[in-house]
Amino acid sequence: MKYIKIIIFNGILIVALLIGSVVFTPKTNKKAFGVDYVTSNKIFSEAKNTVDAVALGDSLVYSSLSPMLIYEKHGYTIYDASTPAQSIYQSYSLLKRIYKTQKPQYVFFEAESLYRRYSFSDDMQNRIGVNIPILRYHNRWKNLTLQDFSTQYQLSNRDYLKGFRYYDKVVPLMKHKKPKAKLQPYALSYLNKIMALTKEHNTKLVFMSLPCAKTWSLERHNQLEKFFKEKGYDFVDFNTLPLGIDWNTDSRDGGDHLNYNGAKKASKYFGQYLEDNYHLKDHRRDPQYANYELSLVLYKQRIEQKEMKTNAASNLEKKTKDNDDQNQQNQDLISNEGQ
Amino acid sequence: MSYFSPLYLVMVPLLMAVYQLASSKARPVILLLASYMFIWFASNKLIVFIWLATLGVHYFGMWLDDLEKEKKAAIKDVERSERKLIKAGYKKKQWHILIFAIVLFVAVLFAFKYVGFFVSILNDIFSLTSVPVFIKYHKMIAPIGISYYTLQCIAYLSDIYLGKIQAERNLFKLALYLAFFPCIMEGPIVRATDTLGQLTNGEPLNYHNVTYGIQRIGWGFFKKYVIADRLNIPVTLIFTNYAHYHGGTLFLGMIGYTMLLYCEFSGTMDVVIGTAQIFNITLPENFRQPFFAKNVSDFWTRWHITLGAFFRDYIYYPMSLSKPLKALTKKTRAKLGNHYGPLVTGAIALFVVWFCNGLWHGAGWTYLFYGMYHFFFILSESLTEQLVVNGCEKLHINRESKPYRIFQSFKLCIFIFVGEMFFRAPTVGQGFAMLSQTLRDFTFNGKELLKLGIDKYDYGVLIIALIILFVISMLKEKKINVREAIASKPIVLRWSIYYAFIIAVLIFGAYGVGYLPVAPIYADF
Repeated sequence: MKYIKIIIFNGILIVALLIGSVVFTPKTNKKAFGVDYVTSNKIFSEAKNTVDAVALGDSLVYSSLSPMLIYEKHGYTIYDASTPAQSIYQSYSLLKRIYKTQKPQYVFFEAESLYRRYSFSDDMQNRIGVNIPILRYHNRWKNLTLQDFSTQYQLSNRDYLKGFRYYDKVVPLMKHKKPKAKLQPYALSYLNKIMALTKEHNTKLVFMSLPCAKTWSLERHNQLEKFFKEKGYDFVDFNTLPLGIDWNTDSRDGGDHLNYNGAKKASKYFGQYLEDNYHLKDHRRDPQYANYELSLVLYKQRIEQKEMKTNAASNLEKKTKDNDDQNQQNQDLISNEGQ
Repeated sequence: MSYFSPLYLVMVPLLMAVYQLASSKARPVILLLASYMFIWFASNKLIVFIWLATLGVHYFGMWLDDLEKEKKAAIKDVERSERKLIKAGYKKKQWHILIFAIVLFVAVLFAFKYVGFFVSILNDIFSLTSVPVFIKYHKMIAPIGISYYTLQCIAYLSDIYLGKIQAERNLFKLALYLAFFPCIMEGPIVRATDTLGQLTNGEPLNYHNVTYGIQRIGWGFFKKYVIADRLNIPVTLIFTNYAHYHGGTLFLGMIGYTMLLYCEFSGTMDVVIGTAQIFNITLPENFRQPFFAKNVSDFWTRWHITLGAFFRDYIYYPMSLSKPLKALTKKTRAKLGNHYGPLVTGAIALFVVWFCNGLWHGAGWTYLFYGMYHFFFILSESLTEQLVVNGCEKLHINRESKPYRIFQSFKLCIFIFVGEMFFRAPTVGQGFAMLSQTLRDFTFNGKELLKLGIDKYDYGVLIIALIILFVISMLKEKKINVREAIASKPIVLRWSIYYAFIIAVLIFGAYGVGYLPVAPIYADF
């Protein structure tokens, strides 16, 4: 009798959690509805099969690659599906969802996550977090609407920066500890999954290391190059290519991430690199991609506004510095944003 | 590994299955292996230190015990007058062994936890006196639980010396007593008389203990995830940028930190005691509704009870009863009278207790200040007790009446909030700065509260959760057993309560994006 009771109790609990998971899975991709990582999530609102290349990875991706700059010059459609400190579990689950609406020819994968260390317990937590929606989206109780109790999704909110994030702060290069070059076993197991997934969808998977003075080392470079060569995949290390990055003016945090200056250089080089080495289609003047033209206009406006603001702000800098520092500190604490 | 990690939630059911399938003789072995696995996860190679401590305490315990037996044999057929001499000789030898062992254990603890602090003091002295010496020191990572099992070793050996217990000859049993995984990280500090017998019973799991244990664990998760973790961001912001906030916000920050600390620590204790209960082991309680205490000394019989009891039994009493202090009491009694006379020696012992208590929490001035803060209030309470009693009688105030009790609790809470603020502040100076700012500018600003990294919904959850916590504590204080009360309800109602509770913790827990979990605070002490 006791055993039957235990089974029934847990059975009902599991059903409740399943129902909860359906309710809590976001039905839109707007921040106001409690979606985390809005910019990367907005890839789900892109018109079907219009994104030709997806850039997956941590903050290095959205700080370095501006898809609209590349579109302007080459007409390629790229999306930064990157989130702060993206773990390889997240990359995998994000890519799986992207394939539901997009057929990218290329996936560019930032290799940094192969080095990200997790304790055994955090590793488990991440796996659970990615796979059980009610745990992942539990905080959406603050924004639940009636729509959440249906299974209709409305992913309409687009990002004209295509996942890119604009940072104008300049913090010159600081000293960093030499990073450890140890590929993490848990990450490699997920890497195989990603490789299989891209193969299944006939996508070319390309690995890359975007510019980062903090986490790059020759040891890591050699290790990755050898590793991917053995596996038969392309690996592009932008740290070793002549992008013209000056870490004293092009970083927003002393050498960890690029700022907009650096992103312009990296994106320019990246676009040219794609043209020289891969086969992507130029979609400029293609009426099907009219929304990219519109995005480009909005993007330019936004950057212009931001730059004007920055210039105006630099005049007021002294006044607001204290305030900014505090805000930044608050932000750091709250977002807990690593890479 | 924290007691709140998913790994722990996976490990416990697995352990339950293995435990249940094993024979009753193998069960304690499984508990010991699980404990060592747990320590290995948390501390890796440093697990060696608990092994060394186990061997040490086993050896010293048997030595003390053997001497006791030898003494009994030696005095068997001896004249009465000689007996006393022999007894005294053995006692002296045992005393030396005990002191040697205690010094050894404390020295290891000291090496890991306090050397850095004292080196920094030395360096300060050198630089103040312009001596051109600077000692370099790299902070060492301490083995997990060293502050707890060291005290358990001391208590165990002292109890043998005092004749309260006999030494445990079985090394394996002693190993399990020191390493038992639920209490290795944050206590409670268990006495041999509490658990040594139970741990090796190997009784099969039983339905009652398993369900009650799981419920207790759930309650701990509620305190930690819904309250403590939600408070972490605002409290951290207030303590790091205190100069930017009004006094009212700082005051709420003190309350917030006290609640955070209480929920984190007592929540951990719920998980610890609940886990032990699953395996039919009753651990001593570490909390007893501390905020309903009458005064500061009463508070310390309700907050971190096992630590207070350790200091009481192994420092306060032995010191007060030692020959020099007894002699002193005699003198002061003659001069100051029967009431104030013994207070002098009491104060000396109390000072040592609170000095050790402060230092136990960590090597730092804030912790020493925290110890002295409580010493000061507890001493003032005993000094003024008679005055208060007389005053109340004259004014016809009933000290057991409700309004007076509420007044007492209110006063106590203010003391505690301020004390915990010093405990949390990075320096004593910042503690005073925060206190003075609170007193100078005691205004509340609603907008300021919404800029503390949590939104109005979070505040709503906090208020409701704290009310639930208050009501449950109140019921416990009135000796109403909430778990029993729920268990006696019809199944539909009972299960609905359980489901609502589980889902509420999952949904309203402050975990994931946008929150910053509290690190296990007491695991660092």
